[in-house]
Amino acid sequence: MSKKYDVIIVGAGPAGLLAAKAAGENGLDVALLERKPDPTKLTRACGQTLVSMNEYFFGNLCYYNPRDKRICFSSTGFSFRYDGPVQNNYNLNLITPKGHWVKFGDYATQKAKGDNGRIGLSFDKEALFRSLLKECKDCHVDVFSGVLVDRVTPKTDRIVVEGSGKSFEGTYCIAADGCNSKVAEVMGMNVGRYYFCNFIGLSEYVSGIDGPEPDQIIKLYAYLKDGSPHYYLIPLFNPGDFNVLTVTVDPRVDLAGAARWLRESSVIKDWFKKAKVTRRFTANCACYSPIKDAYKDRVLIAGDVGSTQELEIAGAMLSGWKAGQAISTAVRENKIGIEVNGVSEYTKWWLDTYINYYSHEAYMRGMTLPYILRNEDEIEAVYGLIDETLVPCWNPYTGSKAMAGAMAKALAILEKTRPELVQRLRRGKESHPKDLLAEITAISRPPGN
Amino acid sequence: MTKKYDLIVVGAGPAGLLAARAAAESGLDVVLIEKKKDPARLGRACGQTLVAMNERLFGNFCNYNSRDKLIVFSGDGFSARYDGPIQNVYSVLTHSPNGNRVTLGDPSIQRQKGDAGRVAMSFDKEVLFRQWLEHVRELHVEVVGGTPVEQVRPQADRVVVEGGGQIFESSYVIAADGVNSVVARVAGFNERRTYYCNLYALAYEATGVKPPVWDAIVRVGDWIEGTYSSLFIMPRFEEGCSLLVLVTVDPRSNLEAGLEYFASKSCGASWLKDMKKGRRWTAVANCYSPIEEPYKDRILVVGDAAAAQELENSGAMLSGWKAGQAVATAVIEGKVGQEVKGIADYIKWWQATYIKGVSPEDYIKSFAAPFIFENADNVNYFYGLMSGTYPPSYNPYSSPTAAAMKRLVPIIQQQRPDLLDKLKRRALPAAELYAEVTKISKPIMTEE
Repeated sequence: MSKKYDVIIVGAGPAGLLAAKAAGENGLDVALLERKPDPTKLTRACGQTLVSMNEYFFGNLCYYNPRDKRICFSSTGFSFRYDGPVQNNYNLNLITPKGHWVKFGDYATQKAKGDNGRIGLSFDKEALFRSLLKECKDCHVDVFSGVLVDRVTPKTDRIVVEGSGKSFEGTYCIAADGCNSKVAEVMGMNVGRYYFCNFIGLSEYVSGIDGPEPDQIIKLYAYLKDGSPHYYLIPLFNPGDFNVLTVTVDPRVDLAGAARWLRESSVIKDWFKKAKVTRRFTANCACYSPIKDAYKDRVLIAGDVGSTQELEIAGAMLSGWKAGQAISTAVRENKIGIEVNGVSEYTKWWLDTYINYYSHEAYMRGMTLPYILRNEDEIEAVYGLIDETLVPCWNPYTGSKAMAGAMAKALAILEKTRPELVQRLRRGKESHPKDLLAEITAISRPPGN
Repeated sequence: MTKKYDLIVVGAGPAGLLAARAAAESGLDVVLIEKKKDPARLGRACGQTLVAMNERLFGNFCNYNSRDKLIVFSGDGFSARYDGPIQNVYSVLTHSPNGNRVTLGDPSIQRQKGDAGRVAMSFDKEVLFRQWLEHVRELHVEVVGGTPVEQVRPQADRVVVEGGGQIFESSYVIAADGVNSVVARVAGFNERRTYYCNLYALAYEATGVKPPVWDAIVRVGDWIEGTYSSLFIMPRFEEGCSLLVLVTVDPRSNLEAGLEYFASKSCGASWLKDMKKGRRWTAVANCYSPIEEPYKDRILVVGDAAAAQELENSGAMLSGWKAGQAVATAVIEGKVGQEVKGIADYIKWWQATYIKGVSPEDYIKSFAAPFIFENADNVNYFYGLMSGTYPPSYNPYSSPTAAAMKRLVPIIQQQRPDLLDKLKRRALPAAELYAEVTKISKPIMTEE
C-alpha cells in the first residue's frame, strides 16, 4: 500500500518548491513530483528575473537582501535563501526596429541609487532550484523526479495522482505544473477559460555582447517575413553576458531564424560582432483567461497554472507559499476536527490579489502590438514620437500604463499626420485582445493537444 | 559618531527576537537591546506554554512540527526553530477551594488524538531564547545585553535610544520590552490607558508533584489569609516535573505563604506533599487597557508592551514577527521611493486582530473571581453546579463553559438569587470590578 501524504505537489518550479517548503515547515507529509529527471536543471526558456523590484506587485515589494542572501516578501512576511549570482537591472529600453529608444527609467539616475534604483533583478534559476530543494529536503519533503503526472483522481477522502508508472495518494493536491498544467486540464479546470494563443520563446545565453550597459534591459520589436517576434536582452552576471529571449505569439515564426536575424540583421547587430551563444532553451506556453476559482475537488492551483500566460516568478513564489500555508491550515483544521477555512482564505486571496486586481486582458494586450501597428514604418511613426523618459519600471502592468500615457501625447500629433494609425490604435485599445489576436488564435492550439 | 541603524528592537523576549529576525531577514541593520546581562536566561516568572493549540488565536493555528522542530503559524505563514523539550497539554482542570472540578477536554480522549488533541504545549523558554538569539546573530543582528533603556528621544528623521550608558540611533524603534514597557511609558503611550491592577506571579520548577492528571494544566484558587490567589500546575518534560505558578492581583497577598498553604491545607495538598522546589522566578505585571494606536514618532509598540497584561507567548511571537516585517516594508518603501504604508498595515492588523478581534478586557477579568464571588463558599457552590467535562480549550479569549453557565441561571435564581446578582458583576467594566485593588496598587516602574 502506498503511503498517504498530506499533500502532493505537482511541479518543482518556484511555486511548487515554495508550496512544498511551506507545507513541510508546518509538519505536513509532502510529496513533490517533478517531471524532469533532474529537478535542479533548467530545461525551458525563462527570463530569470524578479520583476518590479521598485514597486508593489501582487501586494508585495519583493526585495533581495544581499547581506544574508535572501529573497524577501516582507508584506506577506516570508523570505528564503538564495545564494546564487544576482545582477541589478536599472532600466528598461524599448528599441524600435529602426533604432529609436523609449526608456523606462533613466539609467544613470537609477544606477546611482544602487540596490534602491533597480527595477528588476536577474538571478540563476538553477541556483534557486538547488537552494529551495535543499530547504525542502531539510523539512522532509519527499522529492520524486522523472514523474510526468497524467491522471488525477479525487475520491471522497483523498486524491490519487498518477504518472510515469507511479501512484501517489494524498489528502490534498497542489497543482504547480505551470502554464500548460496537465493537472488543471485533467481536472477540468480549463473548462470555461478562453484560449488566446501560445506564447513561444527561445532563450539563448549569449556572451561577448558589446553595446548596452551590462545592467540594463533591452526590448526590441521586429517585423520579419514569417511574422513578428520581439526580443529581450536581460543582463546576466558578467559584463557582456545576456539572456537573449526571442518571443512571439505567432506560431509561424521560426524562432532560431528570428534569433539569428537579431544578431545579423537588426538595428543592434553591431553589438553581436563578437558574441557567442553558450546555452539554448525553448518554451511554449498556452495563454488562457485565468482560472477564477483556484480550488476544486482537493486540488488547489498555484503559480502559472491558473494565470494568463504567467504570474512572473515573484507572483509564482507568493502564490506557492500562500498555497502551502493554506493547505497546512486546512490539514490542521481537519486533524483537530473543526471547520476547514484554510483553503477558502487562499481562494479569496487569489481573487483579490490577482483576478480582481490585475487585468489579464491588459496583460494580453501587450502582445497585440504587431497586429495593430503592422510594420516597421507604423511603429516608428508612433514610438518615434516618444522622447520623454518614462517611469522606471519592469512590471507588465505599470509598463503598459506608462506606455498608454506616453502614446496619448503622441496621438495628438498623429491625429493630423497619420489618422488611420490613430484609429487603429483606438480600436486596439477598445477591442478585446481575443479579437485582436483572432488571426493568431485561428492557427494556434495549446501545447499537448 | 554613533552608527545609525535601520531598527532598534528593545527587548529580547519572544516578540523582540522575532521582530529582529524578520527585519534582519529583509536586510535591515538591526540592534537588539536587552536589559538582562545574559539575554538567554529567563529572568521572570512565565508559564512557558503555547496556548490555544487546538483553535485559532489571532488568526493562526499555532502548531509545533516535532519532525522538523519548528513552531509554526500557518495563518501568517512563518515558522521558528525550537528543538528543546516539549510536553503536550491535553486538558485543563480548574478547582474551587473544596475541590469541585471543571474540566476542559477529557484527558484520555484528547491524549488519544496525540498532537491534534493538545490544547497547549509546554516548552523551555531558555532553550528558545538561546536558539533564537543564535538565529538573529547569524542574520547579523547586534545583540546588546545588560542595557536597560531609560530614554527615547524621537527626532525628525531618527530616534535616539539611551540606556546603560550607551546611545543608539535608528530610523525606527520596535518596543518589545514587555508588560512593564519603559519605552511605552517614556514615549507617552500609557497616557490614555486605563490602569487596572498589577498581576503578581511566583513560579517554581518542582519535582515530585502528583497532580490528578499529569499532562494537564491544573488550577486551583483559594482565599489565603483574606486574599485570593491561584495556583497553576503545568507539566514539564517528564512525569513528576511541574512548573508551579502562583498568581494574584492583590498586592496584600504573600505568594510564598500561599504556596505553603496550597501544599499543606488546600484541596490540592496531596498533589504537592512530596514536592521538591527547584528554580524560582517572580514577576509583577502592570495591567492596563491595551494601546489602541501603537505607533507614533517612529516607535512601534508590540507584543505584551502594547497589550492588556499579556498576549501569551504565541501572540507575542505573531505580533513581533509582523512588526519586524512591517518595519522592513516601511524601510524598503522609503528606499525605493514608494509611499510608506508598511506600518499602517501592521496597525490595521493589530486593531482588527487584537483590539477588536478579541476582548482584551475579558483577559483581565479572568483573574476577577475574588471580586465576583467574594468568598470560598460561593465558589464551591458554583463549581459544584458546574462540575463536569467541557470542550477542550486553553484559550484566554474563549469560554467553552458559557453555554452551561447560561443553563444554570434558573437554578441559581431559585437557590441563590444573591449569588446571581454577584455573577452579574462579571459584566462590569474591569476598572470597576477591580476597584478594590486598583485603589491600593500602583504601576511598577522597574522590576528586579
